[in-house]
Amino acid sequence: MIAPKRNALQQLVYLLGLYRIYLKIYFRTLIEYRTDTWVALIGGLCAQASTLTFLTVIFQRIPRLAGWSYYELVFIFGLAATGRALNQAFLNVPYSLNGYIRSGMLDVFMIRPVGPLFQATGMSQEINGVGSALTGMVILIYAASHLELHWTFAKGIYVAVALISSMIIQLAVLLAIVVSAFWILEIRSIIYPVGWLYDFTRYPLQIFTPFIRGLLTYIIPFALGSFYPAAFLLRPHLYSWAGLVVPFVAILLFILTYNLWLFGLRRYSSASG
Amino acid sequence: MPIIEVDHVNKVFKTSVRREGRFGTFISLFSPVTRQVTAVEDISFTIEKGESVAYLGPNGAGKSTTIKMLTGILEPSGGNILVGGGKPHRNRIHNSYQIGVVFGQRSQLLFDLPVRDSYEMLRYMYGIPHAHYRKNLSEFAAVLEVEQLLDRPVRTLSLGQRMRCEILAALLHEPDILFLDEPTIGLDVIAKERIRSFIEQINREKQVTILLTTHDLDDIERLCSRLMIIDKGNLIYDGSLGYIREHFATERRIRMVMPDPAAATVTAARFEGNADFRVSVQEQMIEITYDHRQIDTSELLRTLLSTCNPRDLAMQDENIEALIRRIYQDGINAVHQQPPRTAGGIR
Repeated sequence: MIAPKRNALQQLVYLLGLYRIYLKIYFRTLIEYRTDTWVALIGGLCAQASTLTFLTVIFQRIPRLAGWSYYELVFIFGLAATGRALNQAFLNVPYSLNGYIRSGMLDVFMIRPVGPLFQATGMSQEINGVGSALTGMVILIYAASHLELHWTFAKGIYVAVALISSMIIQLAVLLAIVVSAFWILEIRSIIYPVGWLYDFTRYPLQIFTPFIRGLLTYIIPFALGSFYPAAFLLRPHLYSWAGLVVPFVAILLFILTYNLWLFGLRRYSSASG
Repeated sequence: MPIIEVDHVNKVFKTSVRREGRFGTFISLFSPVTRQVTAVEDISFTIEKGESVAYLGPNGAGKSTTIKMLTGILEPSGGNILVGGGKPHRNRIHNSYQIGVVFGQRSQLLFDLPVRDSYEMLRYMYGIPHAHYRKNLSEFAAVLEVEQLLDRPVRTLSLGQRMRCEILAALLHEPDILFLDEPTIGLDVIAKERIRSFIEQINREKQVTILLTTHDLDDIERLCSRLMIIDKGNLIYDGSLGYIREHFATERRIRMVMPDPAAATVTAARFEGNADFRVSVQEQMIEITYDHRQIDTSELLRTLLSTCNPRDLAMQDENIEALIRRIYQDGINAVHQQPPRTAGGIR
């Protein structure tokens, strides 16, 4: 066969269609392992429930924290938790990539007519994340219903943009670590503590030391996908800059990391075996 | 124009070595210590469309590295590779349409799902038109006898069944070249035979170019008119299996069973003095090994038969597997005494 020609739009449609097939594959795999799936789902819900209990207890004792009211705190938490869960559900590839390299699956991906990163992403969904995302959204809606946010269509769109930005920022940071492991083998396991750092951004950044605040804003900018967009929605006048900076940083980080990935892939094919 | 051109290709792997000591990792970050391993050294060959070539060599000789370079997974460190006129690693997507790859040791099928689901995924991925897909699937499934397997989860298949399904997966997009990395490894005789006859058929009927690596000489006898042997990264032989048999397998063996082998030993003693002449006796059996270029077989037989009275007599030429093993161990020059003049030869 000869490679079909596609323009950018056709390519996008093609990739979305392929991702749909991957979701179907994942879903069918879940059905194959019904018990396993139930355990994972119930486990995910239990984890979320315990977090919720913990939160309720904490927040009921702290009606205000760094100037944020109870429902505002819950809103920030809900947005961040949803972003994390969506990332885990659909863009979990940094955690599985190393396994694909070790098992030789990366080689299989490389002989097919789609980018290996896309294929790896398509094969890396995590059902845990779906349950957590639902819980996250319930928290978010619960908080929003108690806040007078004057919802507009634009704000609704911005929530979607913020969640997508959050997913992409997490992907970019974690993927950059995994790709760096092409050069520095030992740093692979850093991915776990760095991933956990995200949990800090479920709370108002003001409660942390300047070091952690700076770290999560400038170095590992998880907060740009969680706390700041939530703050922008709650107090637009104070955080107006976040409106455009959030998606912009997400796009920029994605471009940077994608190029790092391409560079790493070249190294994989030129240096390692 | 050849479909595969490999021109003075090298492949050097750099592996980074961790420094010793407490801050080893940290120091390595800034001044990495690397060790170089040459996997493939100055290899050149061309393969024409429709050829069927076996690539043979001991483990670690560079077979897989070569296949990975031809499929675009690895980039050559030096030299030039053209597959279908393009550089495989430069344009992987273009290359992926002209090649099909079967890795014996890893699967491209979805482990938990019915075989058909993997094929559907590949159909979408390659953008294979529905009509072509249906035609290819039914045709290949019939020949490979996998129609009954299509709705079974891959994990429930035997190794032989899975391998046939893998080959089908590699051919759905009608590639010009099929790479098979040890396709018959670990299979039983019947499973091997099925796979061989299918490969032979697509090579003959569809003119699919075949390059296979194997440890199994029966694969080569059956499938490949041409044999390349690689050892320690160097291509040491490129020619036919028949040529190896004819020119390198110079040893002959005569086995006779008789009541009194001692008599034959006396006769055989006349021929002693030749370098490779050996006689061994085991109860009623005598075994004579000699180089057929130094001793005329008919003369030897005539002499033996005129003095002894064997109940049974068998002749064998050298076991080709043992011969290849000798080539691996001692290098081709040790095995090769007559420089080749015709087709095929030593590099």
